Amino acid sequence: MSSRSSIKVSRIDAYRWRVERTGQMNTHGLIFADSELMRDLEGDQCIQQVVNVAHLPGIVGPSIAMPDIHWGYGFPIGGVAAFDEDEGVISPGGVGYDINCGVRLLSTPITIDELRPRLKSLADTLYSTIPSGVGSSRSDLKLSRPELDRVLERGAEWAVARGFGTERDLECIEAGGRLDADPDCVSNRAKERGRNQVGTVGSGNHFVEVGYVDEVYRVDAAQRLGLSQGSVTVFIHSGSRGLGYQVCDDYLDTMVQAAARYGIELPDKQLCCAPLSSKEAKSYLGAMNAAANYAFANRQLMSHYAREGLAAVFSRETADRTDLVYDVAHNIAKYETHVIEGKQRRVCVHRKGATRAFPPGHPELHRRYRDIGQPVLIPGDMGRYSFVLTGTDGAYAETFGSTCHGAGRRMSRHQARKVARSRNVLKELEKRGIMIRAASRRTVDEEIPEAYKDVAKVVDVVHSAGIGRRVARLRPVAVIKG
Amino acid sequence: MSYRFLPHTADLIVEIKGASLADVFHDATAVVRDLIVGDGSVAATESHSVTLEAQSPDELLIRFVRELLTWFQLDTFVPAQLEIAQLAPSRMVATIRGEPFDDSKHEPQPEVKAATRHNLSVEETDAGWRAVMVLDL
Repeated sequence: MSSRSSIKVSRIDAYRWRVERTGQMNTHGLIFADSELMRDLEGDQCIQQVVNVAHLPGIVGPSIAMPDIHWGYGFPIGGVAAFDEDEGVISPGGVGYDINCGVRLLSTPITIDELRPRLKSLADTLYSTIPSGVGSSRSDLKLSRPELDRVLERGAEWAVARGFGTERDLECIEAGGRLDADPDCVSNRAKERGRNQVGTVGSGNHFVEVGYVDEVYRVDAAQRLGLSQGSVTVFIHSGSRGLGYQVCDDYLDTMVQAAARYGIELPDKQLCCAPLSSKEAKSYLGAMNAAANYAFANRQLMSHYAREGLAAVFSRETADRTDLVYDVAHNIAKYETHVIEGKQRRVCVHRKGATRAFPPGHPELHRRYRDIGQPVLIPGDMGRYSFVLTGTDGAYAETFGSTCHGAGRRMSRHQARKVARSRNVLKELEKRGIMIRAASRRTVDEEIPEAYKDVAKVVDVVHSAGIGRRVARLRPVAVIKG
Repeated sequence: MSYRFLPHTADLIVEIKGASLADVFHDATAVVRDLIVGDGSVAATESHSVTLEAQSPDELLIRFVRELLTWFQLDTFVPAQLEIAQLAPSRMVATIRGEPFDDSKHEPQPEVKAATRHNLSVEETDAGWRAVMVLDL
């Protein structure tokens, strides 16, 4: 297997770097970054992880990394890899523990000027109605086992059928908020862990963020998305919670054995995998999609409670006119059809810390957005800004219709805590007009803005490289953290 | 016996050193307690029993840490002490004493999602036992 010393990286252009194929790699690596972001990668193992992914059997095209790449476990975070449906594999480590971790954005009919006098009230209301923090659960929604199975089978559709949202919401979710799942492939322990966590934020980098549109780059696209200068938004970041972690754990155990049985050599045990045609892969897909549906339902419920918060602080009409802009997964593996060397091929695309970014005209997009391309949501850190983009033909041609997913960490959590130790981060952010409500001070310290790369630079790279197109920038004013 | 956290950009690497394999598991218990409640004290008022089997000591360790993380998520159980009845590189029988998370004395910490196999190792060296594990936060 390739060692770190044998990694050879060469610059292709201002935004692309090629990692040469060496040793037993089955393909080369392709990293999207400018010189400054590349410098940030020195000293950790993320390029080695791009190389490791390139060793997996049946990989089609390069092992790709987005400009927010950072060191993960198994795949790098910010990694994209596609696998041939006959020769390729599926790897739970290429999806991650938080299956269908993702983001969604709501547009409200209120302006930032209307919000300011009631901002504190809204922040407090959201903090009390959407449980956050480690192990957070909903005492008002503990699901029976049959009901949980319906969540796993129907995803956001289940939530809408229960009155937690509208049919229109489903049109604005990747895959309609429902993937083809098999709840029987999910273990009892995973189901037990998932019984009372639907509608909760969780911890770490997850959040509910109230913000506003502070810059519009493309007025026509922004209008179609319900975003205008000064309009207030609600950004939600969460995933499949304990249920997803347990599904990943369960199937990593399965795949460690499967990889040995199918004679797959692994440069990192966390990349354990099975051929897509195997029974192990089919079971994992059924379970992973069930966990993904749980995550879609989770974000749908969080939207419902955000709307209820807006109704309490503003009016029912405000809540009713709060629309879902879009909901995207950024930890997922999906079968998709792509054009490879002039031919249409069905491949299993793993996106771990990467966002689908389908171009205008793609048949999988709802007609609402088909002419402008898929909305892409890129959250930044809690002190600066986030971006809304749309998918492009460039992404479809070069990255299996994928782009970045966020800012990407540049500082370890330990380092961030050290930097934050002598400061009052809450006060600092409040002085800058950003209210924080958090279950844990340690989370806030670990999530200080400077712990992350500047997401504007990440977005500059994907926009300039043509794998995403800027629409608008959002500024946070209240952030609910775990 | 001792443990320390090593730098990792997004997650957490823990290194444990001990004179024996039992030390490694005692320290792994302390690591999980540390990650759940920080410096907070934990009483031994409840217990969980566990019997684990694995093909190697690294697999045994990952299974053990996963159990502790899952008990916390399911019942808010915070581990305080490990009592080992049997321990071999491929088998462990033990009782873990601790208490439920208590808001009045425990400060919430960021969630540990899972123990990973990335760079996982449990080895006997000339100086004793050494384990390295990456935890997903």
